[in-house]
Amino acid sequence: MKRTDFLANASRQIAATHLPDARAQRPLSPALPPFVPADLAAPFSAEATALKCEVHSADSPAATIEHIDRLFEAHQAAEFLSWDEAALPVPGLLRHLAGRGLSRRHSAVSNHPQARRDTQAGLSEVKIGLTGALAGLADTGSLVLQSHHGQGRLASLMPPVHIALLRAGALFPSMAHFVQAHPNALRNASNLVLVSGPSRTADIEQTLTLGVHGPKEVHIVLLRYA
Amino acid sequence: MPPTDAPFRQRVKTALADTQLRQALKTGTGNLVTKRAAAVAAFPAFETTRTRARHIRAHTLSRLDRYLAEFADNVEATGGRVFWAKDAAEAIGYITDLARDKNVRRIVKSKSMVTEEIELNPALTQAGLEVVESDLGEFIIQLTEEHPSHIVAPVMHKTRQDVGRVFQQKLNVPYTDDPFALNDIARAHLRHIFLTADMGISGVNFGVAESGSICLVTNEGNGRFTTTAPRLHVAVMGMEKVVPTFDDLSVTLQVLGRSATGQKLSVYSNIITGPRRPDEPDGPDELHVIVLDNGRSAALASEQAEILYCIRCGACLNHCPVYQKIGGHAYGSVYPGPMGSVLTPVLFGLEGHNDLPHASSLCGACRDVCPVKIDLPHLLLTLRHADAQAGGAPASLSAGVRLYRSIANNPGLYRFSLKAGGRLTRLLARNGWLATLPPPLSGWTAHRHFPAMAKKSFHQQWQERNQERIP
Repeated sequence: MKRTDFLANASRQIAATHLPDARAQRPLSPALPPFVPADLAAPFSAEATALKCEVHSADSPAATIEHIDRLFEAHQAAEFLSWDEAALPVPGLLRHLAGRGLSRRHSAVSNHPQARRDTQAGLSEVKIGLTGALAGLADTGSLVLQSHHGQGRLASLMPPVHIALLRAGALFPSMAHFVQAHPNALRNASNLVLVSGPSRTADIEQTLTLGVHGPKEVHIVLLRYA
Repeated sequence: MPPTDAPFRQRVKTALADTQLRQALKTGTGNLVTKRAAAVAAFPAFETTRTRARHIRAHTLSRLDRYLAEFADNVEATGGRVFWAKDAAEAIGYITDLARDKNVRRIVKSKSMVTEEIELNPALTQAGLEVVESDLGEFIIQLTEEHPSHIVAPVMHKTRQDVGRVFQQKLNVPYTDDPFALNDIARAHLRHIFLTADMGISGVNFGVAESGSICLVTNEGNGRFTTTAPRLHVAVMGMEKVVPTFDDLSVTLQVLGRSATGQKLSVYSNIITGPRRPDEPDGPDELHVIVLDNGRSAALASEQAEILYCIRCGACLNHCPVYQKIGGHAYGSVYPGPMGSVLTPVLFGLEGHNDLPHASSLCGACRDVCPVKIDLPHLLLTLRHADAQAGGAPASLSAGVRLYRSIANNPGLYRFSLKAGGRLTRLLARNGWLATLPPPLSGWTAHRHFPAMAKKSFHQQWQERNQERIP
């Protein structure tokens, strides 16, 4: 059907309708109270933990790297899928991991169908995905991730373990606060995802199981100093 | 639509006789009701937020043509394609043509009710394409060739043993009824499908007009994988699903998760704005958004237009005393429960669906829990009215109402009938109740007893009371 016909028909039907509570203006968002990001570390951690994320608090770059080293050791991971160094809030982290003999895999997939399949199949067994985060939402314990150059979607989706590096300065009380601070967050990236805990299902007799398609474990390293 | 061969009453009887189903429904709806109540209690702003969500939906629909135009312009500005589908056939035609043009063999789907509505899977299979559902629940019922019995929890009617046997037979794995093991089996099987599919098909929870974004809400991540791994992404969106802005989306998401599963937010709120950009490492190369009418524009002008506010959370199903007893399949429609009993006849006509508006006790629980406060009992009544106008009411009911009208119009006759009828009921009643009434009133006592009428009518009591007071 042609766009003009489709929309003209919709216009005709709207003219003939009565929609209860429809107002001419869309409801405006209420004014939001001010906040201090540092105060949000505790509530954010509590919410994320309730969602079965593990939150690791770091007071210095060295502490951050220690957390990451421990997580790699615990999972005996030899390789990982990661965002580019520039997209991670810990300078020198990828060099550090390379120095420990860990190999970074890239998620750059080709436009060629077969090459694309091969690349993605080759990444499917990688244990750990390492990303930054644009923001954290304290009231829901959510991470906000955007896809960009050097920061792909697969790193937070494909591996069974996702490690996200989150600056405490990027915490917001709620999604509404985030929207107000980043009004163009949707236009600016082809993908923006709110991640609220590990992948889960309760489809079978409403028994909660983790890691259906996405990560079974989500580790958030909260950079209290950044 | 799923097979509706058996008449509605027969399907209800079958469902009520199925003790395993009744147990599964009791646990399933009970859990979701409890979780929602806890989430709402923990969120003091719930009431104001759902009022705002309602106003957003109402406002958007009152200017839907303009918001859809804005949405489509922005999808195209970010490199996506928009196709306008009048009905199921046009939507299916577009997808099969696209699949042929792009040499697609395997298609993976994330959970979507609108693609159930247009019966997309059988059409794709018929076109020689392989299509695999990736939501765990949808995957299970695809294997058993059933339809979802709930719009959010599609296999609410199944036990873990059922699932174990299905996987054993269809996936050739050793039997287990451990949900964690079953989860791992599905993960491994579907991971391979994601990695080898050429096209991903999703629904759309919300479209955002100001940016041309589509938002998909899932817990498992099937919505992310379906729209990330395959080179083509096709999203099918009911035309009513738009909201104006990102800010509005944040409001509707707040009430969706809490109402559906008692989660503050579902695990993944995945917002897609066009295909991947040239400098991005991954994501689909193409995005096609199909905006589907399929009866919706006509619904806009109907008396039941309010049903288009619906955001498909499933809370009205969970809280409905009818759904709790009969489950989704007995309705015989893609959309079950209170919202389905309105939406189905509104989209597809009352004919063949005229039992649905009657599958309700009008208790109002659905309206009370609806995240956009749809007056479902009222909408059901308007459909019952339309059904009666169209001659759908049982002859005995129409005859009874006619008889009552003729008596009630004549005060003398009315008082006499009341006296005579009252005496008769007292004469025939046992312990104050009549188990059966004679025809044409026997239908009423088929499911309940009729009380013996009081010795003194209200009318009499009122007169006596007034005589005592006025000396």
